[in-house]
Amino acid sequence: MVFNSVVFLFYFLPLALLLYYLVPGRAKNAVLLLESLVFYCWTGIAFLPLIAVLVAVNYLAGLALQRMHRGRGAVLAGAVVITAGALVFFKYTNFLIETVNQVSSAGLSSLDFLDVLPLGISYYTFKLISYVADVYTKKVAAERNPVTFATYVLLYPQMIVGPIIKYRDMAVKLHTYVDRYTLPQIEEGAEMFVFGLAKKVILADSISALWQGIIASDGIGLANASTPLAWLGIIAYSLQLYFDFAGYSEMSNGLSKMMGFDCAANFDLPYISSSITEFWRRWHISLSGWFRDYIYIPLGGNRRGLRRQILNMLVVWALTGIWHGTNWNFICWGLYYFVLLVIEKSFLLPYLQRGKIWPHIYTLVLVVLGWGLFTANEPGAPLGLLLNKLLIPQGGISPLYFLRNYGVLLLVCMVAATPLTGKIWARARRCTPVRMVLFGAVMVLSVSYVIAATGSTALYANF
Amino acid sequence: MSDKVYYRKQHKQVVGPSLLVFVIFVVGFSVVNLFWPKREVSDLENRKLSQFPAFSVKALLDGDWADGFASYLQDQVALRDRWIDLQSAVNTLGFQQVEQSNILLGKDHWMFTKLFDDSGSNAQLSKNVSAVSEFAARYPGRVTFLLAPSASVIYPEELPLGAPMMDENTLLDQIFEKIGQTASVIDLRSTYTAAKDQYLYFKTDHHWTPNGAYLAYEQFCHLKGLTPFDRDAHTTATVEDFYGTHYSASRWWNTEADTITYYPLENLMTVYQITGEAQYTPLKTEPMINSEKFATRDKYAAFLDGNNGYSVVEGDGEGSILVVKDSYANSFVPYLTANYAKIGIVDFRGFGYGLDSTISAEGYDQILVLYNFQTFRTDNKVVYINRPTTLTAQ
Repeated sequence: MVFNSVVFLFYFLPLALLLYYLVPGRAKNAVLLLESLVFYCWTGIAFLPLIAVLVAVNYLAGLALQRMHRGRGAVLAGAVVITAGALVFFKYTNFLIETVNQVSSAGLSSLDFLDVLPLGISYYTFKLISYVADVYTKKVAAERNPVTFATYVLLYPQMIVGPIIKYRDMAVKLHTYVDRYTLPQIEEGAEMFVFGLAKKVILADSISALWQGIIASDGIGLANASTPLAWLGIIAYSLQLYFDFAGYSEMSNGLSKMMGFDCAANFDLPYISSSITEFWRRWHISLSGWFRDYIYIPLGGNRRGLRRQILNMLVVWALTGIWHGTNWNFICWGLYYFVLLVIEKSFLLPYLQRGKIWPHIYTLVLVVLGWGLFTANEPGAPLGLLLNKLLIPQGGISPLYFLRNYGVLLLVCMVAATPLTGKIWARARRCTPVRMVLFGAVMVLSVSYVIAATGSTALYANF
Repeated sequence: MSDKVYYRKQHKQVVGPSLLVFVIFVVGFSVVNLFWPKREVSDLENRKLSQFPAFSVKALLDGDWADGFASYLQDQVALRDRWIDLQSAVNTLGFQQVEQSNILLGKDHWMFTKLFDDSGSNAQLSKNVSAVSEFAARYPGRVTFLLAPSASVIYPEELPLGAPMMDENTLLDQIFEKIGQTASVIDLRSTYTAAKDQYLYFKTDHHWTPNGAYLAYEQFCHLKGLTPFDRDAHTTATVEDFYGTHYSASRWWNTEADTITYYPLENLMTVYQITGEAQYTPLKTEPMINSEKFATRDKYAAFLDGNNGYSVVEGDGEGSILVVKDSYANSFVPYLTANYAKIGIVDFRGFGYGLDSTISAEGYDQILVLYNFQTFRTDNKVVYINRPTTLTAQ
């Protein structure tokens, strides 16, 4: 069940919230778990046993880590291997089989039942690993109540596309039974949810038609596009990705907030960054934070000399790449960022910090090019052709029509990717009537887009 | 300097205005939605709407029921048509878009089918061209091929700025060149361009008007040496407020309704049920223009009562002609009653056999293949025209 659907907005959401608010404090977690189970099983119960086993394993591992003094490392390793193993198996087996087939003549047949990725597995396995690792390093006490623990893992706002919120950031609220939420908090959550919805359905879904109009089978074909049009297309795709994912994350955090859980923002206006280093502090923050806390730092981070640090970065970025999808272009995309970050770390960063305008241009150009790598697994956009179109100036279909059709939308998207919209809203919400009208209008318009569209899922649900 | 800190009295924040709006809207609309009447079809969208899915435990557990339920809610949502109008208005007015659901929104209320596909994807077109040309070679001197150009070819200046339309003109040249080797061809481009201030195409629909069809018919008569249907000797009837398929798809706020002006001829048409190859059982006989359909949304379907697999119109002339066609022919065929005694009509969407057996069994003198460019480019049933007969085996 995606958030941008009639069934979620006007059936699941009101009922789920109503029930959650009505039941007494002690029962709230159980109710939330029940709702999350309905949400999770909405598309079928095939993968329910999987998540149940993983929850049980990590729950027991947490308890064991809490009580044991010796052999804790083995327990941690066991839990992580099982959890990460499930992710690797369900996500990468067929990719590995294909790769083996390509380099050898083994001719292994791929496994059909792995064609569908279990819902949310990339996100909840990371939540589980962060939990056992934090219990192991004693950053947080193990959760004793299995219902509370399962509630954390299955929490429906975070099921489809995260964000990957750590248990230690939710533990206090999960154990708060009186006044878990306040009225202003619910209101702020509702605002976040609606603005996130608007970003997803009004901006991301509309601007996506530009890139699709170039690469899709009924589009003009990338081969016929001129260089300016190819750039326009990939810029539109960059905006689509951002609003799609940031919008969905905002909806998620808004929902959590309405239930009393304050979760850190997953995106912080990434396109205003003035370096790639800064970009990754603002883009998909919960994922980069996870890789930093559970891969980079345990490997030694920057404490064991430069060479080791670079090796650690290589590991992190190769993993980041492959996390996004089972295709070589994602690995290339990860390594691309590894190279850029190493360059910045070794000498470029001080210059970038001194510059005013050019660092922003530098960052945007490289990020947009990066999305070119990222999208190169789509049928209409092979990497060689795309790079050729972007980097070797050439004629073809001009961007004129696309600027005419999408110009205003592109402008709105660009402005919405800066702090300006936030500032306008902060000022507008001081005046109650303006706030009500503006908020109501955004909500009604978003719903019209939800109904007129056929309900597209978030791009990031496939990762 | 004093260390005293002055606390400004905290401005009391009014709690709840956004929340109030949120709750009223979400709860209010959810309740309205529950009691909103459900529909079988959407006239405006011209499609069947999802109905409440049949329940079974198995469907529930594998997610099928949930899928069906979600699309049921999406389709049956209260005020659905108005929501779609609103979204279309925001796109076209707010974002100034000139395209909505694959319809290009042009100048002067014009709407066009979006034809941006790259030229590499015309595989079906070349199959169809070969098929017709091969067919015509079997019936020397008897086949006429009429391919109507898209409105955007005649009125390119009405397209949105810079629209990268496919090069239909070049494709038409190639098509006529190839098929012209075995059949007589009718290229309407110069006729239409010369008459472009006439009402040739509907602006809200993908069809030509009865007047556009008449110009094509005139050119056909000229080619065949026939005397055309005398328009001055007949009076027209007019149907107002036609909102066609382009409107249904785009729901453009700036739409101007079309008008259908036609000749209410009463010639009878028999629609047949096809029971086997070249075997026809009469299904119904009715006037070839079913004026009841002018009262519905799909007004163009009044001509020949929509698209039937095989039907025969009784004409007032001599000889017989078989029209193989898409829906463009529906408003064209009525004029043929002035020239032929029997007009057979085959639409491959409901006709699964080759034509040879029907031509010989029903004794057709002439064959007219009539399509518009867009159908002819993509229709994968045109090739049925050469399906070998199964009847001559004995």
